[in-house]
Amino acid sequence: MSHTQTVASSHQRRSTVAASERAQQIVGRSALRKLMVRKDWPGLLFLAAHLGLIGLSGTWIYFALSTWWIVPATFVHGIFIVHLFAPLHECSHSTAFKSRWLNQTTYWFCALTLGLAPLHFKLQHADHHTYTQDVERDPQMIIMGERLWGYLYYASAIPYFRDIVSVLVRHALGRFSEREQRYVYPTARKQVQRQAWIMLGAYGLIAAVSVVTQSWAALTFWLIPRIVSEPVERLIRLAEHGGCDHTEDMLQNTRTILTWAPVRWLCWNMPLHTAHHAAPQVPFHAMLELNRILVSHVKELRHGYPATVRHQVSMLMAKERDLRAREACG
Amino acid sequence: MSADGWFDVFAYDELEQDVPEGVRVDGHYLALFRIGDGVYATSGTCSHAEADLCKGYVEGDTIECPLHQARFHIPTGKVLCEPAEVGIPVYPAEVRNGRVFVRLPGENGESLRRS
Repeated sequence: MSHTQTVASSHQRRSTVAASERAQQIVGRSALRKLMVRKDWPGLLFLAAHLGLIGLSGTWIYFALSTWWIVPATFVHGIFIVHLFAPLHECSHSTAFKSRWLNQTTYWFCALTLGLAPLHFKLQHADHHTYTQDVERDPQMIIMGERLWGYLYYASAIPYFRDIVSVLVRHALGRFSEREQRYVYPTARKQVQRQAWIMLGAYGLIAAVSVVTQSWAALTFWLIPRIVSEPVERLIRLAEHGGCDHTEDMLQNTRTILTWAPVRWLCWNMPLHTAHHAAPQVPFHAMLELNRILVSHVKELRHGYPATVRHQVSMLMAKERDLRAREACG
Repeated sequence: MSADGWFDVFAYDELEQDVPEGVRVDGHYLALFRIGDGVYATSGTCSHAEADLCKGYVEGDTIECPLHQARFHIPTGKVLCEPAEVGIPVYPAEVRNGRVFVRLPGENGESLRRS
């Protein structure tokens, strides 16, 4: 089998790949080489601070039990937990740390915390990078977010949690949807299935220990905060591409959000999302510099998440009005 | 091209450790690597989505695709990490008089190895 045939049988080259290469030409080869350098210490620093905040907010929950302070404490604790998506995502690119064992260990910890199996997420996310904003092929495109009620429903995190549970159960049973079969290639399915079983086994063990010891800790410090605060993470995910052009050029199909340093830090610099899509091989700690080089070429640039959400909602409301007007005109 | 199918493709001194160089030879896009004192040549495009491997991350004797982080063993082309399913072609390479030479598959396809 020739090389060309092999490539064509696995994934057709899409012009997002070429677009990424064009964006990388803006950066320049030697600058890109410097930005690609991987390190352990930034990731360790970010992770230690992130886990430290989770520990602090968990302590707040502990002292707030049986008081009304439990409500804000749970919400704040949940915010830190759901933002573990940021190191999970970075680890899926192998760029969180230079050491692969640190990368893998952190990846599994975040994956178990969030219910996202590592290999499935990695394969799904790879196709997201190849087919960004392609309605037919981008497996992480939030299609329901293209309409107002879908956007609000997705922001509730209800469909997200439903998806997490159904994906884990289906994969444990070795069942893959037609869409999943496009990116979970046959030889990877056994491993995806095995990881689903490992995760379900871990959750079963936690549940069993909780019942036997009559402990509410898993619910109080993990699941309830996660459920309460997940809508915040969903809004952040919606902000990355929602409403952007359905083009192959990531300088147009991905949004960059300039936000406060603490927010950017909690998201491991992923608000600079266009830069990430232009050069996914660049680690999070070099994303500020990469963004500085690319920012003048970015079409979708917003200041702050509240302004971005307002922009998206008003855009969707205008779309709904337009659709209604068209319907009225027959 | 020499009579035995070897192509003079690059200056050995200009090939840096951990920095792959892309060259086009006889219709093929190749990535050249210097690992220690040895030189290696592989296909320059990833077998997953055809990204340019010369923009990838070299670690020891492996190359990681810049876009989706598939990883390949440079000397054999064997795939080490998803999302790639298959390896990349490797070509015999050697240094002669300060130049890197690569042998491309002939009409009968000899010297093309794939994991």
